[in-house]
Amino acid sequence: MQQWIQALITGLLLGGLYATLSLGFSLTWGLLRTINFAHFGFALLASYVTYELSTVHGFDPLLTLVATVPIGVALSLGLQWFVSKVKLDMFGTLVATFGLLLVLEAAISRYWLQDLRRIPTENNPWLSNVLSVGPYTMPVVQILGLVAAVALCGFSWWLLQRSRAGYAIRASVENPTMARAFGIDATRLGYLIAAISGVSVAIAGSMIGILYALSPASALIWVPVTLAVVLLGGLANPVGVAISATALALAESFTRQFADPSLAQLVALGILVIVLLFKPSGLFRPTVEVSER
Amino acid sequence: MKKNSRAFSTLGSIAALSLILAACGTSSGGTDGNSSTGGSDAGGSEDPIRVGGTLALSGPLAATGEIHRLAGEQYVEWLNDNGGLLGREVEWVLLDDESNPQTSAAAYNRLISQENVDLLIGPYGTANITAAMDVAERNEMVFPQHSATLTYAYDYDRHFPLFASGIDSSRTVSETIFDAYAELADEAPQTVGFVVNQNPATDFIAHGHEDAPGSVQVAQERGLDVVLEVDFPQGNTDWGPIAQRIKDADPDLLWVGALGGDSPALLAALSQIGWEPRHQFHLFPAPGLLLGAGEVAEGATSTTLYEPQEPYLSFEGGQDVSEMFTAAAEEAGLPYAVAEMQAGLSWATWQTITAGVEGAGSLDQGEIADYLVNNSIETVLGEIDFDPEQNNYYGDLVAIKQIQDGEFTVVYPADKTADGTTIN
Repeated sequence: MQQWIQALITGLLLGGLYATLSLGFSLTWGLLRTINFAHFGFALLASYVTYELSTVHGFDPLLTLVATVPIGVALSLGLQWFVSKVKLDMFGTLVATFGLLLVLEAAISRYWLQDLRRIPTENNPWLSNVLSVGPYTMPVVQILGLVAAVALCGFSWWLLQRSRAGYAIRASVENPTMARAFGIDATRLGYLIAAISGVSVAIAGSMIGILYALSPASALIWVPVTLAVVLLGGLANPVGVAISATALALAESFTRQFADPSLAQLVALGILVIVLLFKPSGLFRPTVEVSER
Repeated sequence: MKKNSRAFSTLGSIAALSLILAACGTSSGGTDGNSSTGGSDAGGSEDPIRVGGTLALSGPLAATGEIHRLAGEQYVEWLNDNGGLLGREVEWVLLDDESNPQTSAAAYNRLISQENVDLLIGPYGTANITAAMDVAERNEMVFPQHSATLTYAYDYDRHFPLFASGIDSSRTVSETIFDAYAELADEAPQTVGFVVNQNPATDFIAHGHEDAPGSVQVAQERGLDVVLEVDFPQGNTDWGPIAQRIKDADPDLLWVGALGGDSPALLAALSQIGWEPRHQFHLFPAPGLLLGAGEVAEGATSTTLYEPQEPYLSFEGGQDVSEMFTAAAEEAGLPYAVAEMQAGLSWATWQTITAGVEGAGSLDQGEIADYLVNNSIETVLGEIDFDPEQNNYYGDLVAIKQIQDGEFTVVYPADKTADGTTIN
């Protein structure tokens, strides 16, 4: 029983990271019609900035969010500006952002080289900072990550479903012409979504920098699970993202604990395939239903 | 009109991407060859001798590929400063295989058919080497290589391996590890838990292949109780459940078939759940990252074939590789700038092709191969006698090193250690 509960805890905490990383990808895809593969490059850059500031300059890794969040927001805003100026369609955004991901990888490789990087333990107190409840242990940094995921998903849900800005965003996605006629500034709202995406990707990136070894190629590790979370959760559906991220992380965690760990991602992706077979739109509805124009 | 503008924007983005990709390719080696000649003392009027090879300069193997690039560049510089080959300057034509076996094979075809290289040197990584070796064999070219572990598969008679573990590498490496603990540990392990990356290299050493037993079988043959056997995928993102399984099994010896950053991540997860290994072995970790793991890695052992200490420093070129690689790595900004096994393997591979050409006195591939199988070759790993009866493998030179007081020290076998060194 103890093993089941520990696996449950581990899965929930991992779900927090998955949700934080996936939220921005889902929002930009569902609301801005940008399939942003550069998202993974932004996360990688945030990871390396966290590594650099902690290892070379001695900052507490969590405090590096002061730098990574503005960087994430700036990059996301810059991309949104570019996409809106060039007027790329959705396929165009996929191609262009994949190119940007490669550029970011190459730039990171040039500055930090291809060598593996990891914040040494002496610079990373969060690796050993653990909350113990009875026989159960929870890394504090992952608890904070889970809190951040809940806060970001909760705020995004409130913004989209309960605020005037949210109504305007949904209206501008559903019917841009009508929304413009009512004086809704879709461009400005697009920047708001991009900024939220930037915050979430920066937090996820810093978490990855704190928890994992980094290499320029490591950005792609996160692509399958992020796509699975986004497709299961429904585009731009923050609650769907949170639930599907948790479900996939739990599936992985129980597989690692009780079966063959090498099957963990396969099980998660198997769940995706089975769900899509029976419910092609995913487990949750997109926040905005848009027929392809 | 709107459709047209969309089409143009899509085409525009594709064009932009093409330019970006082209730029990336040029900057990282990509499809354009980088060449290196280093120093310039060698010479004369003849064209340089061109040595062709690929390395994983991008992709998942690039961290180690970078070490081989730096070591190779330093060797070529050293070689040219010392007269080159046959009195001619040496030029290294290096391509990026992107950590991909298919790319590696295609690049070796290009090196032979278009770049017209005179000699080959192998890439990094078991799968890439295996793919490239097929190309070398079709062209009957000498193929020295530094890091492939599927020893049983390499029967090409002009292939010269420098990963000096013997042809039964999955057995010999395993025996060496268990011998070291049995002979040197205060309390020899009775139980062992295996946690293994599914990469072909680590998987082969751990699990062997048909008639070639791996560490798991060797442990059982020696009477050790295997209390845990878990494989994990490359790029594993969650170590908590695996750590919990290790804690539940509580092995005397934790045997980690690790690559790159696996080990510090696993040790951090073990530390978080309050389990400390009594003995821990890590197969192919990134040494700098393992040292950076701090106190939890103290006492961790690993394999090596070269370390910057005696007796290796006294072997042919041992001092050179240590000094030159460290200087180059520090200048390049590598976080761990010590010349250890990978740099040593790279240097030894270059020493092998150098010895073959100088010994044969020509660039004839058959004569070079004949010289290498009929003569002892002095390398930074020690003296090597390629044995055609064993796919050109030879004795097992693998040693065991351990983190003691925050630094790697060779602890086994005795002829590779400082006096009085023992395992903790």
